[in-house]
Amino acid sequence: MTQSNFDPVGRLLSYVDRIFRYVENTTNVIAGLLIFALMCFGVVRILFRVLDYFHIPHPPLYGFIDIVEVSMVGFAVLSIAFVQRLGGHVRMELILTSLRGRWLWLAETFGGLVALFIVGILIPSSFSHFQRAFEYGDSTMDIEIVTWPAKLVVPFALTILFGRFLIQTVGYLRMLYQPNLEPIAIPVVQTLEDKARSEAASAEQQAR
Amino acid sequence: AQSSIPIDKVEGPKLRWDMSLWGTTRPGTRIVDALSEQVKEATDGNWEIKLHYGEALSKARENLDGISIGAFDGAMICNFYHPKKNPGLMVLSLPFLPIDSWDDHVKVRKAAYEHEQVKREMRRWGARIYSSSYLPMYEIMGSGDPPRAVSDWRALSVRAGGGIGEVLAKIGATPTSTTATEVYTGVQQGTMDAAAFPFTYAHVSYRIHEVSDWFTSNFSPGTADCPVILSARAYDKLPSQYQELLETLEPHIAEQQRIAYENVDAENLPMLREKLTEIEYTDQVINQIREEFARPVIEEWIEENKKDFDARGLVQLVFEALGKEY
Amino acid sequence: MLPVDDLTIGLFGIVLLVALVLAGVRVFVAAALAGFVGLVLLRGWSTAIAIVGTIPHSKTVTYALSVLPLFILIGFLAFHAGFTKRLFETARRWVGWVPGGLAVSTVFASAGFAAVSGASTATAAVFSRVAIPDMVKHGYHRRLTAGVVAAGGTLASLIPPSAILVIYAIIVEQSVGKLLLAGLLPGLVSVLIYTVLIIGMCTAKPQLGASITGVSFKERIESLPGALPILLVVGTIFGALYTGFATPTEAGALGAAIIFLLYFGRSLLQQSFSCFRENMFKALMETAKLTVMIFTLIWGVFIFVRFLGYAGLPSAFADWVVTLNVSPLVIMIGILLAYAILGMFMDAIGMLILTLPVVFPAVIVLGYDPIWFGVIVVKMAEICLITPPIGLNCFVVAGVSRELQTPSGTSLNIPLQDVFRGVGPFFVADVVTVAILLIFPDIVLWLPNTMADF
Ligand code: NA
Ligand code: NA
Repeated sequence: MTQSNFDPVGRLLSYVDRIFRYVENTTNVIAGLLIFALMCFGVVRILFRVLDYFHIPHPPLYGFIDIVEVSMVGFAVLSIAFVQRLGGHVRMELILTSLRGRWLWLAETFGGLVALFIVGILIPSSFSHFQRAFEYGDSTMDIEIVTWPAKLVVPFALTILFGRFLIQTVGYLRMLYQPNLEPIAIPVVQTLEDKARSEAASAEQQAR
Repeated sequence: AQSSIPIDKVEGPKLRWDMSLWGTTRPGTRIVDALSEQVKEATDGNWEIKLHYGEALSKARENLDGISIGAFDGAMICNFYHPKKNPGLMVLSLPFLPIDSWDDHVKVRKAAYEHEQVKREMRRWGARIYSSSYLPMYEIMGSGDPPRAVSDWRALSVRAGGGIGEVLAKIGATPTSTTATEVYTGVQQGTMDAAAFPFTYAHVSYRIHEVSDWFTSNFSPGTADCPVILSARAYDKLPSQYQELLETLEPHIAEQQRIAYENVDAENLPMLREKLTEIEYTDQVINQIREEFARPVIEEWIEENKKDFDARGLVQLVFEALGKEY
Repeated sequence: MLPVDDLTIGLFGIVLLVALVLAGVRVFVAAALAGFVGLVLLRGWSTAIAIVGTIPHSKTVTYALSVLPLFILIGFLAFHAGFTKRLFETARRWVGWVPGGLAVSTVFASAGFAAVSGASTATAAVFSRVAIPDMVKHGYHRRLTAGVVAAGGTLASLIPPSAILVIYAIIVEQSVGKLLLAGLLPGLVSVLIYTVLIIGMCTAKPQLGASITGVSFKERIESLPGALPILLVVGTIFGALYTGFATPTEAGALGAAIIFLLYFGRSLLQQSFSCFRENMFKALMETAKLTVMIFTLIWGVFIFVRFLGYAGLPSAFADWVVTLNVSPLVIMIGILLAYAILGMFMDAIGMLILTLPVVFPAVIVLGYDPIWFGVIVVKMAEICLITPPIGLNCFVVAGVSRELQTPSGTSLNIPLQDVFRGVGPFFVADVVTVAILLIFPDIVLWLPNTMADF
């Protein structure tokens, strides 16, 4: 079925896909580590509060909220493309699951183009939000951390997302053009039974 | 419930303005409520200033951004929400400014708004300041033993930000930062002893008095500024009679703002005095704190900012407006 | 400006959003795009572009939302650390003696696991593995077996910690702590009603499921340490919130740290370090993934909400609802039915984020308590997980059962229609629960009203 000798688009796709995978995985690892750091930070704050309660002196922890807010962008936005690669962003698949072949690829291509449009608008727009903070000045309330680095993360993450959507849309277009090819770099629509099966697979480990 | 103001009717085109606000209507927003009411009345409803409370149009801390991009025509901001967005306006948050009366509140703000640096930083965001909401002086309310002497402050952890926090730190207290809504449980739990808020209105609206034993009534460690700002672009596009209307209205709605605070105090003060211990300091003590602890903080602020603008000149201007010399 | 009024543009935006969602466009993309198009119509092209770009940062970087990843982490950590199987064993030894004892144990253990997990489908998947084989071995009826596992999974969203209640609190600007506490009693009421239902059914028809006897008191005591981690986390979070000693974020951090340390300690004792590292990594990656998914949904939908604010639609809808000449109760039941229908087709979190900006102001105008409504809505969303045609929990149970084996070695395979029939009684029980909460709103409101204030 697959015509690997005659599929330059497919080869290019899987090459670019691999590069993006690497970047996306890294962003998700950073997000995970930040969440772990948040856990530790929260525990420290509670410990300090217990010390406060007994009037035991401790090093100051001023600006907890500022620090949390500034670092949140690292797990709230940074790994947005990672989730898109896995097809994890919520959508209603009621109609999609009933589509087969070219119709499915057509619908997926439409979804991809729509996403490219809005993400394409959001990138420069969130960049100018960063730019304002950078040029005119902006900071948090208490310990006056500058906010532009956090604001810059948004257009950065959205740019990776744009790349991911581009890869997927080209992937869908390729399938639209030749539905017999093997899918490359696109998340496959799971039927509900598939979904249940993957839940089961993760429960498997639990039962060990 | 407010009596209407004797303003002449103004002819003019149909116009709608959107104004971005946070929270709900409260004593501190009387100024915008009155503005919206009076503009509507004076123009026979031709000019509608629609108030969007609850951060419906923007997060409070991003209101300057919203003005800058033309998302709305007016907003309220607080200088301390984003110190680096309005470094000059932070002069009004300096600790222990010698503000003693409503007139002082008005004078000190007028002076700051007229300063070139404040104008410049507003211009940068495409904004112009219309009027202050004249936030009252802060006072401190807390539980446990009251700080009758300056040395008593050493035992206290106090929720206070900016310059007030720095002065308290110099006195020996521990400043802490939390969201305003967490203060109630903080004081109740004993994880903090006291909190500085605009007096009396914020203390009571966050119900700090329910978990407190004492309050200061003339400590007056400082204030902050939450002005009503307008989009410069939208203002310039106004027909001249509408611009004049705004100027005519300003002293009247400022007066309504004053009455709103006065009413709140008339309600709260007797209740606070009955429930809690009132701590008053002698002028001598306050002057000592000003010289020994507040002045260094102000000097530090001048040092930090002098490379960007004439910070010392701004401080001097503010003191002059109050009839004092810095 | 266009010769149409703001409200018409608002309605057009909603139609566009629904169309895009139906076409299978990712919800955050659909909401952002519909919101953007609406803003263009209302405020012009360049202003609309400028507005949308501020929202991803300003709407996600909010301290109150920082509790989400921590609650999610608790669930994934407990799951990967395998604390759930022990919980079932403890429940089995303590409540197995009642008629239908294993089914009741499943409900109790599900509730316990619910306490550390926000995800209903995960809970159902876990107990499909843990409880179904045991019940089948003891001759429990298949439908009851499948039904109780699917229904038990739905307890996860009411009993704190619950990500979905946090999201509700953020959208409608209510106290996160209060909502988390408000979910507890209704969750326990659901447990109680399920229990009564099972005992009733198994007493009337003993062949449905027998009681488990012969467990000594010593065995019961011995099983307690297995339940300890989860009980500890529940107690900590609940106590911290109730006394107001910690904010939800701090309580979540503490809860996650407890599970982490206990798992760490156990791995140290068993010297299974590589396994610990691997599972920790998995838990963190899954937490990060789910977290960014939820945050993306939030800012995407808030772009749409910003547009609705300019169009004035939520307040117009609220005003319209008030003019309806029917009692608030009838409108409330109408709203709940609408949610039940929507829930058949949509994921619970997505459904809430999409609808609340318009529905919530109307509910408040009608005089309903915002905390109470949050709990009711979440319960409705949970019920949707066990109703046909799309009841995710039921799919999960049917899916997992295919891979389980009967004692005689054949595939267990409980067909989907049997699962749906099995949850039938539990669905009725849920409707009863909602009715009880409608009649006695204090069950929801009593705890949050007595707690220390936020
Ligand atoms: Na839960
Ligand atoms: Na359903």
